Amino acid sequence: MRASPPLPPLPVHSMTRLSAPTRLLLLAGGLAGAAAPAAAEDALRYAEDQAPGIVNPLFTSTMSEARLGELVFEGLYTDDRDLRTTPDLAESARLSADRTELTVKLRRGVSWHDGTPFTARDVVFTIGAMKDGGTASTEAGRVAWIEGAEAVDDHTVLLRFGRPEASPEDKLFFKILPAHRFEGTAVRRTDPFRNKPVGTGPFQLERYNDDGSIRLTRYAQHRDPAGMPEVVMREVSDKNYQAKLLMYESLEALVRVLPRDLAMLDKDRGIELYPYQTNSWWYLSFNLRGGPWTDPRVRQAMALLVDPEALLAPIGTGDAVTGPFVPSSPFYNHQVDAWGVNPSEAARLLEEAGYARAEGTWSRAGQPLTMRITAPKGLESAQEVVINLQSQLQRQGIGVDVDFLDEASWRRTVWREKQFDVVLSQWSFDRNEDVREQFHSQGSRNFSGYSSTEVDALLDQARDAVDPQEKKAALRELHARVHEDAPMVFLWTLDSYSAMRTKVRDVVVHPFYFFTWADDWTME
Amino acid sequence: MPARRAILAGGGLLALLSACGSDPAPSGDGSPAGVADAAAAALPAGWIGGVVAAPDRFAAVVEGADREAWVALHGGDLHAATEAADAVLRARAWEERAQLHTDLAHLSSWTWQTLADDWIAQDPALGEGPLPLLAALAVADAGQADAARRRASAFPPPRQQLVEALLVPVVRDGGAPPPPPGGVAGATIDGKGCIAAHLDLRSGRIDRLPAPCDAGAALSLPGERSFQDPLIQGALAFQARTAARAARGGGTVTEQLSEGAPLPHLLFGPWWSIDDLRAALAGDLSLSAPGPSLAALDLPEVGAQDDPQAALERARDLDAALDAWAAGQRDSASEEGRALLDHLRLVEQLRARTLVRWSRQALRQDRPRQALAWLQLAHDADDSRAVGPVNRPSLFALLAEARARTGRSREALDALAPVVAAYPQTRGLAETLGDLVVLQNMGRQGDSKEL
Repeated sequence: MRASPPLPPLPVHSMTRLSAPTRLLLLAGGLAGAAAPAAAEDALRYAEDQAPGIVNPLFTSTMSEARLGELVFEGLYTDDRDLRTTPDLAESARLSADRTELTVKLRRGVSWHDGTPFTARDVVFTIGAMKDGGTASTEAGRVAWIEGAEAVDDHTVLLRFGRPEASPEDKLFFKILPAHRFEGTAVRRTDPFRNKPVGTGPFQLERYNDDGSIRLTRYAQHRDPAGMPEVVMREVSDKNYQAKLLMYESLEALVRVLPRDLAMLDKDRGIELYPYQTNSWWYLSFNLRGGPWTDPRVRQAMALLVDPEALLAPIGTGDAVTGPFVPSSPFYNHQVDAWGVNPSEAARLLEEAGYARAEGTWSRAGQPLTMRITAPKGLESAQEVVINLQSQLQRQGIGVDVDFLDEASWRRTVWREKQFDVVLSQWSFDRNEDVREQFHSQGSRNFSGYSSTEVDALLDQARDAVDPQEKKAALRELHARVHEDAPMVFLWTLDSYSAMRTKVRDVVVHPFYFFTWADDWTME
Repeated sequence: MPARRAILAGGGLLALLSACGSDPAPSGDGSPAGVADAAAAALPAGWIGGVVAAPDRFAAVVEGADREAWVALHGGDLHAATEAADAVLRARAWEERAQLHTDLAHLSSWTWQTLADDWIAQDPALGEGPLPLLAALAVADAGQADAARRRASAFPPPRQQLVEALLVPVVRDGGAPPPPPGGVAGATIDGKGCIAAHLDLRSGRIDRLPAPCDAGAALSLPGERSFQDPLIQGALAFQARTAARAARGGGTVTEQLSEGAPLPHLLFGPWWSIDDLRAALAGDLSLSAPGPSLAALDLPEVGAQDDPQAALERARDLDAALDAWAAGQRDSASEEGRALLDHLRLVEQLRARTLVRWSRQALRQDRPRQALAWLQLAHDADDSRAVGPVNRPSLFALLAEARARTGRSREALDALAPVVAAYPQTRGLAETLGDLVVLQNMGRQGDSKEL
């Protein structure tokens, strides 16, 4: 990533005290929101690398979408500040003796942002929409365990499960949608709701500003009105400017701080850093539906040619990973060794797979072995990684091309059409670190097409385990198998922090959703 | 920053210091300047002011045969620091290790209790196995006698005796170890003999745990389930305290303080001045009494409620005063003095150690949210995963406990990871905490997102 000219460190408190060239620099970048109405003085302005592409919980697939959704929507249950399940839109629930039915009493007096009362019909609709094949919801897996939902009356919902559930409330965190805003349960991504969401949450989406920022205002009729009157999300794709904007008080929060900015922000007494790890890891995923990547030897050879440590060093601090968990995870298998860079072993595997190297290039049947990497534009530091990866692989006779896709193209090309060769991206997981959707043959996020009966069985075993040590053992075994099968080259996990100005008070950050308790934050 | 270690590692200390540039100072703009300056003026020079004003005093202590050990102590590498030839340095390193393992024993106690209670609630049959006993042993290992006895009160006599045996005061000064009450039949529960070895260690029969017990690995218990050793942290703390006492020739810190110059007792430590160290040794320090030096800052009280915002306000006032004090030192110091102050991050280090001390007391007084607030402030995010001058091992241990006790048990594993890397005997505690994390999230719906 290109370094921006350094701005002088100034103990200033407003942009008006910056030098004229500095102000012009910021304004020229279009970062001061010249076209946007001024935010309220005690508004929380925060930056995302990439703005949410859609504000509809049925299709939430990125962290920025999840964070914004946390402000606008609510679920039947949520986490309290000690991360215990607590009722949100639910008031209470009764589990049947055989644990196959849950009768949920809904909170009364709740209304949608458009004033319509919240009822049981909305819960039934939401579950129906998530399950409807016509919706193709990215969140369908979250209700697969619910067999049926019925509105007993306006404030009572009966849920039926496919099998007995010990604590179904723990699984009722998905966001509820307003039935009256849709024509049926087959909801399209392009439904206007995507940019005109209506929720029951503490903030309502007021408008999209001309500069792409999103303004949310406090929902005054909420049962527990937020402490801040306004939240503004600003897309600041140039990470170099994000930290400067925070320091110059043009923002109150950065959701993710670049590692190279940590020291500078840590020294500023007007800024607090909050760990925000999200159990995330980077990966290269092969499309196993065709081409050279159907052969595990070719995939393993690629794993032996990629040097994750060298790719990681320029972009931040973190740990290399050998499987689909971060090293601190209880599921991480520390007995699995990294592939290590081993060109001779990679060559042996490629030759075994029918490739030969001539004039520096690997090929088979006249076709050179190449890799077309597709990466999302919103993945910070991806350009730097890809440039170095190209260099690593091209030195070893593998041709590499790169595409960076915007959010809409990524959804279409990778998620829906699965028209890609290799993707470079990152997954983030909540504290459950549930990788089922990524690696089960029927997983809704398994866009690589990976299929292994042994891994499916291990995922089922982990899902059904009632013994934590059994679950741990199953997922550690999964780690080992997925490492060996190499549907992905697992790269690293990065240290991740958010930053907030100290004028934002009573801050508690949810370790995954970030804004879960933002309604309690106040401004000094 | 590698230059910091190079400063102390090479010859010609002062020449090396003058060759390096300075790290930028904190902006210190978090509170009114006048108030901060007044507070800073109330601070005595302390040992930091002393070495900044006279860097040759610093060199006189650290240069010499134990230069590498001083580098290690500065950087939080307690393994290397305990190899020092100098008795004071060696004792301090062992005492810091003892504190680390004591802190880990508290985390272990909380983890085992929570695991036992939650797991048995889910699967009552586990109450018939070794799990309740192991939890009680972990509580005893942390020195929480009342809680350990409460847990053991429902046990059959042999198991009660086992718990009680751990609570017997350690024999010192060559006295004969007391006979084990009733033979402590419960000690044979572990096929490797590690439980019995722990008892032998605490009663003074042996000096060190034998292999394989010293590795803190899983116990060999009846049945198929694997449980980790709940007593390893207390044992390591015990061994470290014994080693510290030996390094001090069997004497006390107070006795040694009166014998020689104070700087070796204070350098890179958590005490601003010799008066603060003496006050700590006399047991005068509590959360409301920060020691005579910092007491001059008149920091706001945090109150009896576990209010993290109050904790932040107290820390910010501390920061404002320390920033102003450091700025004053920098203005009047020589080039060598400034380099000492900035390259070795002496004020940041002492600040972090002060916040860690506050956090420890907050945890012991059942205020984990305040502890968490202070520990997050103390933690150096720029090198977040490594033990270092600011991120000392106890910071990670206490951060793990604070996170675990505020519902963030998964994040507690993140905090524990650097300690496990440096002290492999802590792997068992990470495994047990991992079991708890998995148990707490069983049946939950996981969520994942891109980017």
